[in-house]
Amino acid sequence: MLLKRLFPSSGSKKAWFALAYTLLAFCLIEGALQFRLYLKEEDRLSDRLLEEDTVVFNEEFQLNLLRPSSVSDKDNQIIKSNSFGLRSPEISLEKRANELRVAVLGASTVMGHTNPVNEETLPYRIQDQLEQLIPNKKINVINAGINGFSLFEQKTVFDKILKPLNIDLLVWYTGFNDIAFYCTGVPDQNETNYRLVDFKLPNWILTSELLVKNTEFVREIKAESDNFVDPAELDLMPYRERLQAIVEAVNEENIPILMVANTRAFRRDMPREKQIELAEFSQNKSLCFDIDGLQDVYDMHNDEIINVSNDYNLPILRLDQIMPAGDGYFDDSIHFTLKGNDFVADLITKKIAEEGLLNADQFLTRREVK
Amino acid sequence: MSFQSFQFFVFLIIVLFMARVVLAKYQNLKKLFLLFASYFFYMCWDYRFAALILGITAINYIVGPKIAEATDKGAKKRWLAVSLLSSLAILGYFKYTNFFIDSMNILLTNLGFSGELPLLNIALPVGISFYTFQSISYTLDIYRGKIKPVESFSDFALFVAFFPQLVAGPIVRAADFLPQLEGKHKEEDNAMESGIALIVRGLIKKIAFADILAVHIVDPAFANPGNFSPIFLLIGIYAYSYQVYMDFSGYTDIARGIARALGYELHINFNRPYKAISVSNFWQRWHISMSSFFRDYLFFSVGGSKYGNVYFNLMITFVAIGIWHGAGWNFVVYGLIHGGLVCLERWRRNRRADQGIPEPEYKGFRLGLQMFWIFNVIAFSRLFFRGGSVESAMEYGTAMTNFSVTNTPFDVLGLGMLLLAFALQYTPTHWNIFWKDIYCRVPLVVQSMFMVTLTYVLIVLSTEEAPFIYFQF
Repeated sequence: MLLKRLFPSSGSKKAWFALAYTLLAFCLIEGALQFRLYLKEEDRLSDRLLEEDTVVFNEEFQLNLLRPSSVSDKDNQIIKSNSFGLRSPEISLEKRANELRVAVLGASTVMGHTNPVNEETLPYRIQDQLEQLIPNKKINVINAGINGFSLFEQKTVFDKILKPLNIDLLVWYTGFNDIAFYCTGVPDQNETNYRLVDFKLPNWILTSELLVKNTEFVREIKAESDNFVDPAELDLMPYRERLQAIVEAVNEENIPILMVANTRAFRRDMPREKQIELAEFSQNKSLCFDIDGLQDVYDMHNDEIINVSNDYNLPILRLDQIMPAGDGYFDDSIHFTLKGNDFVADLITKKIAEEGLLNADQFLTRREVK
Repeated sequence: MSFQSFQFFVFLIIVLFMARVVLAKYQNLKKLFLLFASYFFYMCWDYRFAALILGITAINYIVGPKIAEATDKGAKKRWLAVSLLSSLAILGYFKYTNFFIDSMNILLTNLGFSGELPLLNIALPVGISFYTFQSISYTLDIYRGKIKPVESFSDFALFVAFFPQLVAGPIVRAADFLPQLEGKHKEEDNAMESGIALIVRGLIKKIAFADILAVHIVDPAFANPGNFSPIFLLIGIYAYSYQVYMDFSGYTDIARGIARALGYELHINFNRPYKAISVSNFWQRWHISMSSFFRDYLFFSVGGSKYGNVYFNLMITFVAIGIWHGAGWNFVVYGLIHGGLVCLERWRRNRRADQGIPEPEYKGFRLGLQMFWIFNVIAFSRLFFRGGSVESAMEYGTAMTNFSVTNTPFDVLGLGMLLLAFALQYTPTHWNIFWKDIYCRVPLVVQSMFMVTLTYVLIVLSTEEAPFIYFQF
């Protein structure tokens, strides 16, 4: 009666009730799942609702960067970001007289995808070593790596963030994200979103996540498993052009570059099963390659990095040849453990000293440091 | 904001509640609200093009009364030309400019000229073909004396931009829809429930059939035809036919369902197209709102079967249908194939009539064989539709003759959905009504349980959010 008074001609009441019951059923099921999660992991929905995303789109730099000046504590990993949205200590635009600034440009390996605290990341370890070798200077090593960045984003990071910071040296570890483009297609860099609003299902909803996770077998695509891309057919010219674009932009600023060839945990001389096991992370990112194809395509991209360093007469650290493979130095197929970061930081620091890439008055020798 | 997205679900609930509950007693406010909602919906795709749809609406709204008021036929024709040329020029600019430039470049290169005309950076507004045709149907109907000009601008704007059918049809005629806005339409009983039943059916077609077929069979087959055996490629062609049918008819069901739930009725757009016994018959069953539009406004305008050469008129119509789908030579070839086959059928029918031979009657096995034959003709012609270019279609065709490749990676889900789609096409037509009736009659609790279960199944089967195929047209 009350409903009739409220909604005098609301179409079929039954349809409205059906919709209302459907929504109610959803809410009850979702509530049960949230409660189950709380009982299992003491994970409260309210905490997750209040929790902020670690990565946000930065309008100023037009990049997905870390939430500026924030501390994120998720999944046993504490990520502290500076005001630029980098996993790096705060740095001012003005450089002091006795300060040396080194930027390490790259992606997740540089950012420290698996490193639990900032202090265990590669740039931090480099800073640590450089401070010991050049005690008379204030050293600032900027972590300019963000998970998932391809060369497109790395160029933007250099142009918009690093260039104004007046850096003295760029250490560049490109990472492997561009390789995924052969499977997913190269994103349109000029694409602009002209949608009035664009919102999606909130990520705290468990119903869909639980369903999707437990029914993977339904979506398995048999036809794709035999449909790997042959690396021999790839055109690497766009990749080389992207590398060259960054090198030229850095050269224009007269900033020395130390290129670092990419390395990985899985190598051809390992048993095939071991290769597949160690390559799991990389294979998930580049589903269109089998393990042999992945080995080939990684080597081919390293060759391009080496070729570009030769073309522009840039020093290069052949990490792919020097760094031991296996899981001691790697957390997964490409990301370094603390031991791996220390190993690489040591090599990079040595190379900087050998090549005289930093205009320091005096580098101490290792023996002197000790 | 695709129909199968969470965003649209929220939008729809709000619109239904506002239109059916809050504003139900205030028809003018309800129409204004629906107009606002329709523009909001369109701007969620790309806000820049709201001005475009408004412009086309304004032109035809202004020209409509001019045609009606003109006393001599010449003036009527001139005003009609203003409407057609301006609307089609907008469509032509956005949809065909680069096709024209590209074709010119090929021609000039073949003639030995060096250099190329640069392609323009033009974004294709979603649904432009649909709402342009809908707008010009209004002035054409006024010109033919079928309807009178509408007085209310907001009514006309709502007719052009009505969100359920805005981006992929069905193409609604002014003569059918405008009277509904004026309240000259009796709503069917249980309109909300039967509307929701249609929406549910459309979602099942899209997510459980079209998307599954696309991901498991069609996309791999067309992405790399050389990797697969001829039998897989053949099934790929059949699967594409069912994918495009389930996708488009699913969209139509959702559009009709939403319209009905809001109190309006849109015409059916499909009538079991793969039960066609000739190519002409197929076009009476497939995308009916578009094919009848071309029949009424182009085929009859160029002479139909009464003036000029009927075969030539048919070819013009079918090439136009092909090009309507997209700017590419593959669509021209698609139109030519269908036009040629319809001409051939017409010629044979005429010859039989001249010789006094009756039309063949198809029954039983012969009927099945004929349907299968026509289905194959349609399915193979769609190589030009799906391939993206004539070259891709040829590549697929060539790969089908390579019997040395034996890779046939069928999976149960893909093949199962194809067989089910095939079986559903041949179920008795009255089952459609049966389905709706069952849904409306079952107790409330069962209805709700069904909807919850269905939504969960759709989440499970849902692949990456894939847009409806006809959005690109």
